Amino acid sequence: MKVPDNLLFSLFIEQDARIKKGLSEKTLDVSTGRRVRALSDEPTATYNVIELKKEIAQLSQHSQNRLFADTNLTYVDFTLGKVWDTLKGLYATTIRAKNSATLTPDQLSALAEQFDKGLGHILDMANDKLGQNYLFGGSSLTVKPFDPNTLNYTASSQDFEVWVSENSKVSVFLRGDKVFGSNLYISKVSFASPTTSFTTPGAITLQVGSNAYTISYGGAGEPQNIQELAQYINNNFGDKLHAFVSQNPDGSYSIALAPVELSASVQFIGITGELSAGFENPNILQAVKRVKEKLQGGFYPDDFDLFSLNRAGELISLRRSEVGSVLSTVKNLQPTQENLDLVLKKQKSDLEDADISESIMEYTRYRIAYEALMRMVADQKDLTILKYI
Amino acid sequence: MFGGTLGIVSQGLEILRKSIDIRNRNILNANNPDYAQEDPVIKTSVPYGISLETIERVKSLYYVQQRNAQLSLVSSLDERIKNNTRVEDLFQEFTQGLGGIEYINTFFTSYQDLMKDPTNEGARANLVQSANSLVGYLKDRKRNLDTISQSIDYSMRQYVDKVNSITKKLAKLNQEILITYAQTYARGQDYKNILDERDRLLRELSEYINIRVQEDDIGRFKVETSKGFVLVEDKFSWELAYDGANKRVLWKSKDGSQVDISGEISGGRLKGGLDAIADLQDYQNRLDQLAKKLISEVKLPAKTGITEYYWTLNYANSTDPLGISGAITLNGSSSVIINYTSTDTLTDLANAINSAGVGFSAVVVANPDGTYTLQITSSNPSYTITDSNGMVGGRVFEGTGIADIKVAGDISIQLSNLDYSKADEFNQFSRLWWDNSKNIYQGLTSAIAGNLNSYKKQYDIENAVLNSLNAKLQEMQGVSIDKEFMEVFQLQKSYQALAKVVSAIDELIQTTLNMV
Repeated sequence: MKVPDNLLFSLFIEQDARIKKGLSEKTLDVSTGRRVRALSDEPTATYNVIELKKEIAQLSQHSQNRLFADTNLTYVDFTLGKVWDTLKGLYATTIRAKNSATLTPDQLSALAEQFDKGLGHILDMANDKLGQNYLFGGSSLTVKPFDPNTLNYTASSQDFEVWVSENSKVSVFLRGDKVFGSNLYISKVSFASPTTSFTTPGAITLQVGSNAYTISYGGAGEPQNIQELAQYINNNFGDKLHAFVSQNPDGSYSIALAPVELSASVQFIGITGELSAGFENPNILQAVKRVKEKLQGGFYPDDFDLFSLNRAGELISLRRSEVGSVLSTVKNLQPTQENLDLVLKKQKSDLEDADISESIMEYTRYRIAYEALMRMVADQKDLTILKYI
Repeated sequence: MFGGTLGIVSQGLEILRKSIDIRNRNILNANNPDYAQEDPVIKTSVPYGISLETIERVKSLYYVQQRNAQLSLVSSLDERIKNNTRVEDLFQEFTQGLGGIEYINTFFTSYQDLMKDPTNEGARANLVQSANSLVGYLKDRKRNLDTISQSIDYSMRQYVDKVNSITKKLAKLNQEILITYAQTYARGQDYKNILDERDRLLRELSEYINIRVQEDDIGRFKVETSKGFVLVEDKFSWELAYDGANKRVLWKSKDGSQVDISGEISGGRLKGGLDAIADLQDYQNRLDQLAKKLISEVKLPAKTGITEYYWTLNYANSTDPLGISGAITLNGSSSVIINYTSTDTLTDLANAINSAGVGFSAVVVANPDGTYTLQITSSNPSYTITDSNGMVGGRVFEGTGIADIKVAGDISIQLSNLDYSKADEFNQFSRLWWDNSKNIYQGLTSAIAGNLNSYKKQYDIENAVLNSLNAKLQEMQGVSIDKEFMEVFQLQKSYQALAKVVSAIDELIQTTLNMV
């Protein structure tokens, strides 16, 4: 068979180009550490790497949100802890005052000063900010939650939430009306004394939890004043409701109610008769303020004052435990997210990074092939028949 | 008597010398891939000595045509790969921080960062910055793709010029073949080296456009491209032209009319260029689609300060039900709450807003991406609009597509008037927007990656076939120096032997003369 010289040359060029291409690819693999460097190197890897980059970015954002929630909720927990400390201090002061039978008006006034300081402290904390955002302003963020004069809640009635994972979000700025809300209820109508008789009979229909109750008063065989009414409620509904006769800062008396269960609330469905004006539901700050004003007025704190301060402390404690529970969930997300991050990054690395040892082996193989090709061409050119003529 | 013998010897010497010349020519062209080995055919005719009957050219037109067709295919792929590689270079997805997906991810993480902490001035500034970067990236890529498109136009013009130049040369060569054939008819028809030039030009032409060649007995040829559009016939050639505005290749008829043959070209760089233009158009459309999606979808929960609000959700049809129930609160010249149910349509909502008459008007509009939404215009920027489901917001991007996309001019005002209570809803919407943008971008990069990878694989296979055909041609027509040396050696011996006859005749004459 005829072997034209140009055929040999073409074959050499073709093989040379193929091996050089392989050699240069492996050189790049080793020098860059990347197996895939351009989109077309491996289209499926390109698709998956883009998908993974997005997932990693989303995960990173969720991690940032988690960190944000962690920071905020830790501060909320700390703040509520301080509120609880203050309330406990005020409670202890109130017990001491109640148990002491010989406090002068000046001493009561000094105690009121202490309550004033405590209230100011709680208000400061309830209106505390983290960055630009109020801790207890809910989703309104920049609206001051509690009016310093009325202590009414003026901000959003929904929590501000952030997404901490693909499917879950947590509240990071809580609505203050809920955090500082109480389940204490004081009748708006007041009486000169606990035994002042009702002039108009009526009934209170209320719901505690899922049960509705109707309490009649002022009629024949029914409680005739707020003292009897409180006693009647305690005797008949004592497993659901606490009832008190409490002196108001102006010296008058009101009937006060509170559910036995800490987290329950009372829904007033209908009130008729003398108490039809309804019940006030003071928030914790307002409850503290009521005691302070009583002390300022020279009145001794009563059982309801003690109860309300204790209940306020317990409610803050309950809110704190709820925050703690969310915080714990948020903190538990950290290792999961970090692990997922590692898994995603490893997947990405597996797709685009070169196996260096394998690449070096390939590189060596191509080098040997290249040298062999050179030798083959040289030998082939040497096989001329003309040498034998 | 001696005169006749000397005549025969002299003719033999001349033929052998010419044969040696032909062999030398073979050796000289051993490395010329377009050269076909030539063999002198010497005929012995007793008692008239030897004659050079013809020069046989070792060539198979079938294989040449096959090779040229394959070359057209390979060149077409090469051209397509060349241009797609330039596109691929623009999308550095494997270089950390330089890929387009990084810009998309950065924008949406900035967005979600803001929705996490909407009062943070840094997060607001970061969103604007990342939105501008994303727009900049999209526009840069658009510019780059336009540049590549222009460069393909430039190449196409060059290729068309090259085709026209080659066809002119081929037409001229057709004439030369006839003339030289006539001139050398009686002297062994030694004109075949012109055919090498012809084959070289045909090979070169095949690189630019697919051709079909018909050859006559003496080697003149007719060249056509697909569907019988003649490029060369006899001494005439037909020109091509490139219409850059419409991306068309035109065949110029002799009557002055021009025929669009873009769809008929099936090979060569012209085909590769046309295919690359189509690829590029697809990439540009996808980039445009991404811009349109961003303009149509991405919104901020702005509640006041601006005059143009949009319904957050987009619908495939303007008559689709809203799929959600809620209430829009309009605080304009007076305050009104408009309730809507999931079965209401955008038009129902627009009618309700328009009839409220509190300083807001609404109209159902088509988004740049082809979906539909509600555009609510406030007659006074101080008016407030909120929705219970976070269904009202301001657009982050404005424009109609990639050509004019930009960050909304009122974005700073929007950022100063965010409805914080809807931040988590918009955060959730942003996940869908992010996915949609990512999917379009993924489609773009996958198209580039898939196309180029497939072209490269196809090129490797087809190039191997081309190499195989070239090797086959080389085997047939190529020159083996070893063989040629043997032939020359043989001719040399014959020449020497024949030369000896002259000296023998000379001796014979001398001896005869001495005898006289």
